[in-house]
Amino acid sequence: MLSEVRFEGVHKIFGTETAVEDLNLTVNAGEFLVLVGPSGCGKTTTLRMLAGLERPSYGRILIGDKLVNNVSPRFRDVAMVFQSYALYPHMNVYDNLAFGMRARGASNDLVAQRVRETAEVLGLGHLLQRRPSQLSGGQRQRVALGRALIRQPQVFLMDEPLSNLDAGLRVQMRAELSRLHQRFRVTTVYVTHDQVEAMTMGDRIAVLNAGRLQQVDAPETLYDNPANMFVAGFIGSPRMNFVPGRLASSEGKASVSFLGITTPLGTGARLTAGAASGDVTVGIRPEDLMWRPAAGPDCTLTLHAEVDVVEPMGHEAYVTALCAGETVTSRFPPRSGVRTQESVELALNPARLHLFDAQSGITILQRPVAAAAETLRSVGEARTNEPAEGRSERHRQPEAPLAPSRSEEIS
Amino acid sequence: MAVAGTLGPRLDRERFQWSSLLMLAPGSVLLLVLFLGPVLYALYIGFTNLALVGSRSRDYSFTGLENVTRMLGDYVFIKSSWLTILFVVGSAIVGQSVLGMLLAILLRNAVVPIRAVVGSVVIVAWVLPEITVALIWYAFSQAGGTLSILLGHTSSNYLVLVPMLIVSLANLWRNVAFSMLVFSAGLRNLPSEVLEAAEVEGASVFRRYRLVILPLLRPTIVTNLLLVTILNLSEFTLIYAMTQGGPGIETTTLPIYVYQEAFVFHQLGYGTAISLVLVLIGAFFSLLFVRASRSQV
Repeated sequence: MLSEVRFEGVHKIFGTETAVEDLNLTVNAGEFLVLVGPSGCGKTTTLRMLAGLERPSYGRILIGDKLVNNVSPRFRDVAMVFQSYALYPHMNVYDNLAFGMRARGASNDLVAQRVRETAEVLGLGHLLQRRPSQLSGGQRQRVALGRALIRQPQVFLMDEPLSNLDAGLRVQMRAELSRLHQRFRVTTVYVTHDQVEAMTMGDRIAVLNAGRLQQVDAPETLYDNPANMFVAGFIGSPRMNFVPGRLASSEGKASVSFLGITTPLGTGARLTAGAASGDVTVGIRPEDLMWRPAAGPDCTLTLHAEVDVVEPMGHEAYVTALCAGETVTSRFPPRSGVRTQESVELALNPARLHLFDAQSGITILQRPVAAAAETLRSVGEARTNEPAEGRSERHRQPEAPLAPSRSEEIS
Repeated sequence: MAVAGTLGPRLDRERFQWSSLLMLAPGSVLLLVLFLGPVLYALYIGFTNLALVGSRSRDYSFTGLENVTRMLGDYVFIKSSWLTILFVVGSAIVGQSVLGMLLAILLRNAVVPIRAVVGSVVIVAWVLPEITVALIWYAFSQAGGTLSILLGHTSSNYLVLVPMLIVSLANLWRNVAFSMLVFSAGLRNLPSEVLEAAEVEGASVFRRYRLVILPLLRPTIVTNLLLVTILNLSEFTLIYAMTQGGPGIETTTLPIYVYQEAFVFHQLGYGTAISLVLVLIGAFFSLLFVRASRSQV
């Protein structure tokens, strides 16, 4: 029942536009993988290729061990939830749910039983005779989900299924989807542009930008060890601060200067092989840049800044401040009393710094986390997507490991 | 409601102003004089013995149901009514709509060059003047014409052998583009995600058309049937140019019979009565389609 999904060197080209470029990605059996990225990054195209609604221009797509490039959507045994729900407007809920099973020749008794079970799971029992036009947005969403669930497919595909719901319902459905996945454990590929959905629902997250895979990792790893500036900036809200800095190393001790201060790099963190002294971009998450009075003892660095904008959010406040000529955002406690134009002291834990190559934007600092090994692989994978490296030769590897990255074989 | 009294008159009521009647007057007069008047007058004429020439052209009178009883005993009228229904059902409702739908479906899935060429050819037939189409099909079906050569009977004149079939085919050939265009537009406007959902759900092409596409096209189909029926019911030029209603009365549909009665035999009253029957047939089909469209939405 559980099937893994593999993309091997998959490209999709529309006219002269490359929508997806050299995608190498494995979705493990039973995993909930979120494809996330900005509009037009190729995530929906990737999903549609997996559904069979688009044919890849190059490369191979496998479901289980079966090559499906030329398999029609009918025979792929995948179920898809569309952004618009795509319910059959002329059929009632019962017939909408039953459509797929009937198409596959299931007996009326079996159909009736499964419709009942599915309706039960999703709380649709009292709506079976209604038409989609007589349902609310949340109910339609549930029918669309039910239509996918009822077939018990090898893979679930979800294309921004929550984007048409209002905020409250979205939070509720998010939890419901996670619960359903816990229960049925069907391999799921979930497309969204919403990083909150990605972080909260995904076992792993694949970040795409401009048709290229940037990084595949567990949510926490992605957050703590982004492979490059794009991932660092895309995941996390408010966005990570990027400021210019300089890296200097002597006798194996590295230090970095930025925003008018210099600090040795924390113990445990280590520079990648490609790192060299010179210009770098320093990344600081807003929550790591704290108001001095609220900061802990780890925050050994102090920055002087002038407050520009204060945005109270209720449980916290985002403060945009000018620091050594750079604009930075930091997270303040809710009632700090800080005003615009005021001078404040910001505190920073040097162990929380991110360093990126100033030219390529690739991370040059590995931070110690539990899943460090996995991160290393992902970073390597993101790198192979850089144009400088030869990608023309696509390897065919009959037995791919379950790991997300296959950079070792490619480069 | 409690608030209604305290807040004064409602501001969102439908308003009526007497002065608007003045603005409506010119349009109403035009409608009365040019549309409603003639319709009512035709209704009256249908129950008179008005003639085009002779004494009855001046001294005509209301004859009650005389025209109706005459019709019921008129063999030509009864045959003509059947021919009209045959023509509309065969050539328009079945032929034109079914073929138009098939063409629309085939062209939807065709590669661009084929779509462009076939689409243009079909539309050219539609754009041709009726009299040209009549000439083409007249020549095509004569003894020694293309059809007789194709069928291997060069001495057969198919316009004499199966006249109703030939005029129906000619009409179908000319008008199929209309239905094709209507259905193509309908197919293009179907929600693509719904069709994709059906595909991913495992429905075969046949099943997708039967259970999803055609039901979704229902309003388009009804509109097409309505228009096609009304347009074809009054078809005159093509048939008259090809056969003048002959041989015998084999292709005398109601519009041709009306023409013959009113303008050849000068029986304006009787001719008008027959044309009223034509209106009734049209109304019957229209009702049928409108009911069909309402029964499920």
